[in-house]
Amino acid sequence: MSASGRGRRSKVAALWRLGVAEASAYRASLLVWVLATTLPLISLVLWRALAESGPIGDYDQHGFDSYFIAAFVVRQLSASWVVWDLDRQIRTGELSALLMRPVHPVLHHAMTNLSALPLRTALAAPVGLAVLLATGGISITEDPAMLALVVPVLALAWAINFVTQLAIGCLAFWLTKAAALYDVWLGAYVVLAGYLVPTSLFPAGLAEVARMLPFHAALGFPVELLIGRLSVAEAVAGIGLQLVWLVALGALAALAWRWGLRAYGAFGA
Amino acid sequence: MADKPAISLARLDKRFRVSEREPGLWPALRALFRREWVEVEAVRELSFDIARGERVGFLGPNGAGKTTTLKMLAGLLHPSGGRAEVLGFEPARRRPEFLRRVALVMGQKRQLSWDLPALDTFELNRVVFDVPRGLYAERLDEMVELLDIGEVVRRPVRTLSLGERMKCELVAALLHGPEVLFLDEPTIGMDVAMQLAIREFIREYHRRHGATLILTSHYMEDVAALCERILVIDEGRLRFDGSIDALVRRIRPLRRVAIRSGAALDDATRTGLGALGQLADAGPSRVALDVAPARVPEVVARLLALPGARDLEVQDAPLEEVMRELFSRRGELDAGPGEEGAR
Amino acid sequence: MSSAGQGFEHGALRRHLALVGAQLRVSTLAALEYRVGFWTEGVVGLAWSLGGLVPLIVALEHRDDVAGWGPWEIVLLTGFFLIISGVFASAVQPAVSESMAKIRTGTLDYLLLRPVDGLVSCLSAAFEPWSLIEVLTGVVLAVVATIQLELTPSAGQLGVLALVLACGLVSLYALGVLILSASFRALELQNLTFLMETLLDFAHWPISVFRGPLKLVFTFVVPFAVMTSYPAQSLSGALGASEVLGAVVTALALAAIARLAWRRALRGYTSASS
Repeated sequence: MSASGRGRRSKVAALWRLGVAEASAYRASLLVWVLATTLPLISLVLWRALAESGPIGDYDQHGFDSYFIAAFVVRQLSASWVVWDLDRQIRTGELSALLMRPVHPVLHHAMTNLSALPLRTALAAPVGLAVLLATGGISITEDPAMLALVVPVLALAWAINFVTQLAIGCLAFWLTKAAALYDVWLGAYVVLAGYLVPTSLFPAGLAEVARMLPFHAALGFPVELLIGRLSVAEAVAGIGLQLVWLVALGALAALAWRWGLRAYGAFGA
Repeated sequence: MADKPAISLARLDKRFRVSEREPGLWPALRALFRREWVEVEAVRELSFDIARGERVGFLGPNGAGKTTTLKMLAGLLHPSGGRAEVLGFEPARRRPEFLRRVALVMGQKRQLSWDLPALDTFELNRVVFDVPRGLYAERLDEMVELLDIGEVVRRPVRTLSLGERMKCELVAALLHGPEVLFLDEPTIGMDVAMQLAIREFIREYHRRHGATLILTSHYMEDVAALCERILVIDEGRLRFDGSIDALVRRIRPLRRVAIRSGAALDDATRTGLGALGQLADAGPSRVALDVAPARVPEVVARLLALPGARDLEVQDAPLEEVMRELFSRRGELDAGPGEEGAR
Repeated sequence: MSSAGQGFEHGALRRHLALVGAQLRVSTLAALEYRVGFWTEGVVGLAWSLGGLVPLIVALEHRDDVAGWGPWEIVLLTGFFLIISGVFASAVQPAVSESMAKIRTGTLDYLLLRPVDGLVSCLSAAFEPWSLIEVLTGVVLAVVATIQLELTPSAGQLGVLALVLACGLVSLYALGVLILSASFRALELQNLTFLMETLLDFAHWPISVFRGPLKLVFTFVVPFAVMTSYPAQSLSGALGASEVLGAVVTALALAAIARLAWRRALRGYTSASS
């Protein structure tokens, strides 16, 4: 690696450390975060009770256990919160300081987001472990090829969340309530991503549509892959869909960012 | 009634807990589980009385405890120790009867609803403070006229200038006719004309209603123009209590005597004047001397004797200079309250 | 709500009601300034609340009933859910968020300087009239379902309905106050409102679905049972005396705890420095 490459690497490392420090400065919000991510576990208990008298669709009690624990894990590992940071930075003009740094602001956000993940996961781990012990465990796929796919699929899921938030966050260049718009997205995510119920159980028609949407690509698909409910062909198709959404949403985010910066420069913050 | 002070503080304390940690990754992780707290003493053993109808200015550098004291007197903050009494009430209990008789105006915080005309917020305050309609209309007319904001109160607040907004804020705070008025930096960020207008309004309000006034401001001019009594607070302690003249004389005991002269001074005159006081200015056409008050008559006589002398001035050192000096010399005022302080 | 504490002298009730009325007026005026709110707050809010029904529809696809509740009973339950969720979106959440924003900017000072109960001031600080669309839809659904189920509630049952619904609303407000009080401590805790909003999704379900500790939580701690299941049950007379008593005790206890937390929070208020 060249000297400039090393320079960049150490900058990235510094950003990472900063992200961890920021995350721990706000331990109260971390606590809320951990509480919020246990929602699939409430769904777990609920569907487990409903499945007491027999399987619902192709999910029996154990199937629901696996699905919702996996949903909990995937949500932990693919979360991002750049939309709130960006929204605040644009509104208050903090972004100006970020633009002056020799690191691209988007890279900065990616690093601060990724760097808080281990901490958040560590905080959420006890909850996950307790549920694992209480329910008698989770069955994940035994196919090594599928297992190998888990990591890239998770990375893609994270990237989809990140660019979506980036695109919506960029709306703060023009609107005062960009973060509120993300709530609308989140509302759709909760229902359509398979956060409350597996999308494969949706009524016919709705299921097919829901499974094509980016919400499912960001949560339902990685979960189903992880618990071994997909054939190789379905997995490949799913990854293809993830890539399509990533490119589409990424292009949208890039456009919004470029135009937004121009608007930002115009009203001079 | 007049003999009981409007405001009385006895050894008032306020401490805040602030979290603190070393920079770096490990301290950050440690702070996640165990936080280190530092106690900050914002106000320490503050004691003073303020009579009804008095106009008092709090002076002090940023973070000296002025605003904290003000907020304790308004009942927003609970004291950590000591006792405060305003109009016979304990402020922190926030009795409605107490709140109806005081008002707090903060230059940096607004209470007017952003999207609506100020009149709508006034109307809300009329209901909240239970002001009879007739009295409300009367007060509103009076203040709108004094401040010349007849049109302004009908426009959405977000479209107003900083000064217009502050005028409306003042009206909102005064509609219930408070007997004690706390003003925290009311003119901050405004241009000179607007500062003057607001100052005039406050002075007029005091003249008409005889309210007790406490003011903090960064602008010495505000304090000098409005307040007959100054309390200097620094690091949470009372450093000075007296009139503004007394404060100036304490900090800058010398008075400045200046005159225009027809010709440049020769060396002999220069040395002669130098013996009487400090030569602050000895330009070709202007002479200024800083001298002890007792020597002023002698110096005046000598200066008037200069050839072509005219435009004699005798003045205290400029206030802003006094302030700068005051806060650069921390602790030197520690001798205790000034000569006019009651205790 | 228990009105312990400062300032309930003569005429206080009238003055507090006047305050709430005046605040409603100001909020409504502000809401009319932004008519786009009809779509963003009203219609979208209703859409998401109905979207939350998808899991229930899934359950009814595969079962004849959900833990003993048939389709029309679920519609009845949904009616009450929309009422609760609409009140949350139009009154509780805006007021709590607005108060938190005021803590952050320090303008809460002005609210606390009013000669009225500070909590009443905070809880009437903002109002989102467009979200009442949800409440209206809820009332319509409840009426339609009552007719479809051929229920003929007696006056007594209607009285019980009013009682448990009031308990549910008090509990909802109390939770809002608890969140608000917590955010005096650490401002980031205001994210708890989002948690509450998401959690509210589970009020879609009849309480009989939940088992074990979760059932206890949703009956006594975050009493969704009192808010949605009990009102629906009261119409068919399926609500026992012990449940009604439990609802009253839960609501009163939550209100008392909230009031206590609020007083503690005020004592520790530091007022954002300017």
